Amino acid sequence: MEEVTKLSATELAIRYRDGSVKPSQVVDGLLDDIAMRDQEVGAFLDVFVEEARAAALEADKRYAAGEALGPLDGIPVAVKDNMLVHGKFARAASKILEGYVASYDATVVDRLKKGGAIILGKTNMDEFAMGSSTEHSAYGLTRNPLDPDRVPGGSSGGSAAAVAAGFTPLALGSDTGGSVRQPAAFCGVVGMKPTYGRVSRSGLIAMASSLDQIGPFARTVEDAELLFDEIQGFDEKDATTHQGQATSDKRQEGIAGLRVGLPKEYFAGGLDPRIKQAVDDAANVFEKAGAKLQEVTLPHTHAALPVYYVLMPAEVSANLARFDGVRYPNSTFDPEASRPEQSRRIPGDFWDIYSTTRQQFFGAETKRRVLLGTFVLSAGYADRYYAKAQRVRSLIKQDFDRAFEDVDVLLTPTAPTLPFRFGEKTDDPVAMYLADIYTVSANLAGIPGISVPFGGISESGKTFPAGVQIMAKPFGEATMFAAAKALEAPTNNEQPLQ
Amino acid sequence: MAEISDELVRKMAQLARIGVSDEEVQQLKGDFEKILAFVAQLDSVNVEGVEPVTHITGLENATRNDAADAKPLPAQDHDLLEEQAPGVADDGGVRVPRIIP
Repeated sequence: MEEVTKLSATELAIRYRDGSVKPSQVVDGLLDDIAMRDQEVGAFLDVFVEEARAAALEADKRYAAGEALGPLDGIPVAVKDNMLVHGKFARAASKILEGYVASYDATVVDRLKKGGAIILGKTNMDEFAMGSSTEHSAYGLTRNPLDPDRVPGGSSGGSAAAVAAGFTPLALGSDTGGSVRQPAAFCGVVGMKPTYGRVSRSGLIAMASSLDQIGPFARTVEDAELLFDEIQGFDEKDATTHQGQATSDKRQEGIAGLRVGLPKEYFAGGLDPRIKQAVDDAANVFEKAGAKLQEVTLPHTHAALPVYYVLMPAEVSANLARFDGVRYPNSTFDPEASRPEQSRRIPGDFWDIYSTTRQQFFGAETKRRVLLGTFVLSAGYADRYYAKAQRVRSLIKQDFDRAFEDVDVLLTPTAPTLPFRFGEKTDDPVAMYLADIYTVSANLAGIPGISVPFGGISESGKTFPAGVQIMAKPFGEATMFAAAKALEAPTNNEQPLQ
Repeated sequence: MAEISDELVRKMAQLARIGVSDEEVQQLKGDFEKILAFVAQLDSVNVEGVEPVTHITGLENATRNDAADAKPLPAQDHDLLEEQAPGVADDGGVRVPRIIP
């Protein structure tokens, strides 16, 4: 029998319409598969078995009646645990939010539900999206489906692994410094970060608000575009979403004449030569398809990660101040002990509750970043660190503006290495941070980026596609998707490079 | 690079309202040193005359009409939010601990 669970979202939409496949068949198949194999992978924190089955039956009826809601009707989607789904746990993989149930839908979830998409469950992640391996989750490991001894990347490791394992054709992640693109590269799937302001952040548990964007995971570029189209656009609940540009660009076909820039700073030391080779091969594919290659320079590339490790923790320290022991269920606050008739201070003192709750329920990386952020914003240090970093951020943005005067897209590696093994980088925060060296710049500059699996690198008996990144101008998603599709033509992707 | 002392780490922990053990202070001190040594690469970047980023895609003052047209949360959601607080008052509302001693 044909495996309907392996079809892409785009194919499913066609098959649902012609009646040869029903949403319930697909959802039942995927749920069975998750029940059987996710113990090994650890992609999901929650699976919404009953709701997903019920929603699939509703979708069956709509297709039978010729009343499909839209292109994603009946299509399964997994959602990262930092996005709110009404009535479901939303813990951002942190102990401090254990037991918390979301009281509304994130805008992206609302749009998916209104379009008939089926929310399969919540996926594992680094606590509050802080990490590059999903090892900072308070709820256990996620394994890379390409090799169970290796990390799936992070912070959206659960969503990347769910797509790579075949548990869902589509998933949502969030990307603050590479948290969609880097795990997509590690797991051999497509992952995309939109232009800042293209997708609403309402209902996304905030990490660093000037950098966070929600983006799609899929097995094909076409599918990623399909999901992106559904979630993007202005939202009155997020004042940073754009009104005008958000719906102005059109799908593009072909890349003849496309100007592709290769930033020389991205091919320096620290890059695995096999990944460099894959990017060179991708450049050749572009050239054969009629694109024009050109070397460009982004002179402040070396400053991107340092800027990120000032601005991101600063914003984290502000955003996480809301976890004060008073609002969310997990707390050291004992309300009975603080009745007025009880003792005058301890144990009901607000400041004690605030600091003991955070000490007990924040993980080590979260504490590290909140404290670092407090430091770079504190009196005596704010000018030297925070204000300086905001100025260097301008220079990084200007680098991109200048490069995009000469080229339409940039072609780079997504990550400097193949997926690493568990525990390899957990003792050295800076070593872990370097996993994002090619992805943070897009967040700092606010531009879109996509990671596409390309070629195949063999190591220890396993094969890993290289993650190749394409970045485009602000609101240049259509051009970016068109370029990304050129890299996945079947003939380019079948033969391992070595 | 700034000199990272035990006192500085404790001061940040106090400002950030995160309790820290002696062991954590030592660990954090080492991490701070490593991360700030990495961040020190910024010292060599010339930013003379460069404006800081305020909004990366250039949006300015996203305003809207001052009208009560935003849809309020349905009542059930309000309840769901409220009942999850560690302290709920007998007559509704979230109980908070004493702030002024």
